[in-house]
Amino acid sequence: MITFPVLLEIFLRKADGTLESVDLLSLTKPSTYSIGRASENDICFDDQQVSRRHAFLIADTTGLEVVDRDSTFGTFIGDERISGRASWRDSRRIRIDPYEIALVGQTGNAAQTDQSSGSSFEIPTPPDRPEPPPLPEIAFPYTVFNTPIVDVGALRTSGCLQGEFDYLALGGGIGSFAWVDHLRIFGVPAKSICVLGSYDWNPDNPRDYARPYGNYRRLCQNSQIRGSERLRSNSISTPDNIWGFPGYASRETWRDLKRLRISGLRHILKVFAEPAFAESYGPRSDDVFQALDREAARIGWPRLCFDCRILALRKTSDGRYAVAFRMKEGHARGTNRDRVVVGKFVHLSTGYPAYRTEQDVFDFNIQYSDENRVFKAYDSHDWVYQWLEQKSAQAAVAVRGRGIIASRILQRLAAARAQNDKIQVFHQMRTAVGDGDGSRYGLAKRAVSNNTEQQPFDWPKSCWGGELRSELENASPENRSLILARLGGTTTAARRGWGRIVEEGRRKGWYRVAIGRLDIKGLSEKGPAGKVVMEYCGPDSSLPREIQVDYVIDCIELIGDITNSEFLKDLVETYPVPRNRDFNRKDAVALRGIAVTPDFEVASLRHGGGHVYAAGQIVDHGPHAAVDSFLGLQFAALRSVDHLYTIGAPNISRFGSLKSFNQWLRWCFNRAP
Amino acid sequence: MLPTLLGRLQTRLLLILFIGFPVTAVYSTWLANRAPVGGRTQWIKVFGQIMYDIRPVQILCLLLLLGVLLDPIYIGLQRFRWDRDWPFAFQFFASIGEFALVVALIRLDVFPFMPARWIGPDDYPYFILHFALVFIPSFIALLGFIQIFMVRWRYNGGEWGRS
Repeated sequence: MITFPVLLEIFLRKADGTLESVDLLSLTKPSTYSIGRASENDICFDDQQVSRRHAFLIADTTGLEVVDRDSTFGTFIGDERISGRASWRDSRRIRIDPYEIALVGQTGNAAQTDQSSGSSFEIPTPPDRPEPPPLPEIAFPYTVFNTPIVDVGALRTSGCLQGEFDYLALGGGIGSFAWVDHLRIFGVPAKSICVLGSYDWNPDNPRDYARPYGNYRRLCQNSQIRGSERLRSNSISTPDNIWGFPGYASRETWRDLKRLRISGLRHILKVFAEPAFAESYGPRSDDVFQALDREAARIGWPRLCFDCRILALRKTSDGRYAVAFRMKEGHARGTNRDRVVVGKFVHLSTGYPAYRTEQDVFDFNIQYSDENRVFKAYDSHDWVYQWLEQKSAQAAVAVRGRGIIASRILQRLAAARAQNDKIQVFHQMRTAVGDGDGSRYGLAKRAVSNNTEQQPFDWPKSCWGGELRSELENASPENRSLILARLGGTTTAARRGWGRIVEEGRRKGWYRVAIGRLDIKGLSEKGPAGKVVMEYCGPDSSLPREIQVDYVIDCIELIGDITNSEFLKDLVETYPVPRNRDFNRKDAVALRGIAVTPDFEVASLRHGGGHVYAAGQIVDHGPHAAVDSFLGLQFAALRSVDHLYTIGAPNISRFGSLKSFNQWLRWCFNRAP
Repeated sequence: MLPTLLGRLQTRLLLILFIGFPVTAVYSTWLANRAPVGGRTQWIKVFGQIMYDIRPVQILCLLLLLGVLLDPIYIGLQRFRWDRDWPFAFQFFASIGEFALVVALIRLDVFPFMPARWIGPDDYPYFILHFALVFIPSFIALLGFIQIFMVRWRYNGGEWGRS
């Protein structure tokens, strides 16, 4: 996965053969960037060897690609000349003589190696086939999507039409899975559904498939949630089971009792006593993923998915929608990787568009791109803990931000301390929150501990299905902003283990809280003896102004705007798609997620008989608070599928009690719906 | 549990209709047949050919009535909780408390249709058994079995209906 901004270093090979770094570029958004000698290009190379319109660099959260535009002297990745389109994933440089372009500091990519270096190029056409037509000046999909309403006949004759379906799910993650699960259980046959998403899917491995939790699992692992760790999620939030029964606690108890472990009863006892008399239960992440594997196989999910990059959506002339996408190499070869599918009912659940980076983190990583000392918690950074454990000398780590991610990072650091007890942790939080100063709503107040507000889950429980859910749904947009501000905010779960870590850390002196700002100022020296220099600015006079640490882990969650996704940016610019407005921001109009009806429909995209629905983070700040949780995604799926029934969509049943019971039995015995 | 007021009332009704009344119907027939033969007492009634004991039926109705009256109080208490939820443990002990309250009120001779002498100390085990046979399946249903039949129930705060 590519995190933005993407940093490129430009080198010039001089006449004497030496390579000199001449520029550092930053690509802030996913887009297609043109390279060439002419001044209208995004990246301009002033040399006669470079063609006026030389190449495209396509940057997206799923990867980078280079397209050669029939240049005179060619475009190379390493030493191999590109013909047409090629993916750029490894550490080789792009060579457009006499310039070279290197990718800098994609820490998220460090774990990914280019396993299939041979398959990233086009297969040369056999000699008896005619030469492929020259690449058009305009890149796909705008070759076929040249008007807001697209003619289906033209799509059929263009040769890139992959298929026509009733239901399209865009995103391919847990949100899409919940929707497809409901569709299949409500009676839709598998052949009517198509799923488009981006996966780490190796088609040569028969055991691998398009896992709906792939992206989610990677983020969990990076933020130190191991397979055996428990998620901050409810027992009955079961994305593999639309009824929420049996919950994960019951299943865990059942498995333990089968192995004659009576202590397994503690899971359902926790559900009985939570949250007043016991800590809230959470399922192990591996249990959730295995359950999803089972349900995916049961509903025939693997055969529905295309591993691709979704490019654009357009309305068609016959009241449906066309979605253009580019298949990943490995799943398709040659020029037919660009495809279009047409569907009548579309579901958008493309997930978090991007994470913004704090400015000082960004600046440090540009300047010291090889140092690997400053990370966002969602980026892969396991070696930090391994290094800390192996080193037996003093080491200091700064953790910035509060909340559930910071709690997990602290837990991991405390575990590292078992191997090396000279680890020191500075925990920065912008403001102090006293124990009685939690957020208030109505007659209730939120609990606080260690300057962090405590809540069992991301939102108060009643947001999923109780009084708060209906209050929020019935509120006006202005009131909604107020309610969401009160109920939301950064919180962590009240786990005894975490409380003990903080208390022990304070007592033994290895854990210090720094209230105020702790900004990165620079590096003391390059190399292994160097330390990150940070400046503390806050009311605590016992902390020095300058603090030097070995690593900085930034847990501040800054979610990017939805237009950071190339697909959503195109959608929002082509059609009038209203967005939720954050009324808490008085100074400017702050736009958040896509505005949807309480049935999660994007009403403004209604067209002929076609409807578009949306769920997940891309609809945040709307009538439902917990949109990006397991149960929230299932709720969105249920409401939208019920809505499909009321408008008479094909193969959707009313799903009353008997049908529901029948389908539940099929789930229990692992029979297809 | 994440109930709304309407949801509490409707769920109570649901559980009484599908679990409470069937169990009570069978139980009161059984209880009537245990009475000493020939000693037809005031609380043995006849419905067609079947003899049944009216006391469990009346207790069930009293439980329903008391529950309906107490539900607004539970919802009010719930408003003091940040999560606006009603933990299962609370519901468990509240239900047992309601039963104890009903028996106490009967013993205090509050109801004309159910005088205190109808329930003597020897009868307590039978009525505790009756309550257990109604309450335990109802509580287990609340923990998840209702969801199998009514998918939308848990999102609606316990209310019937589709949205």
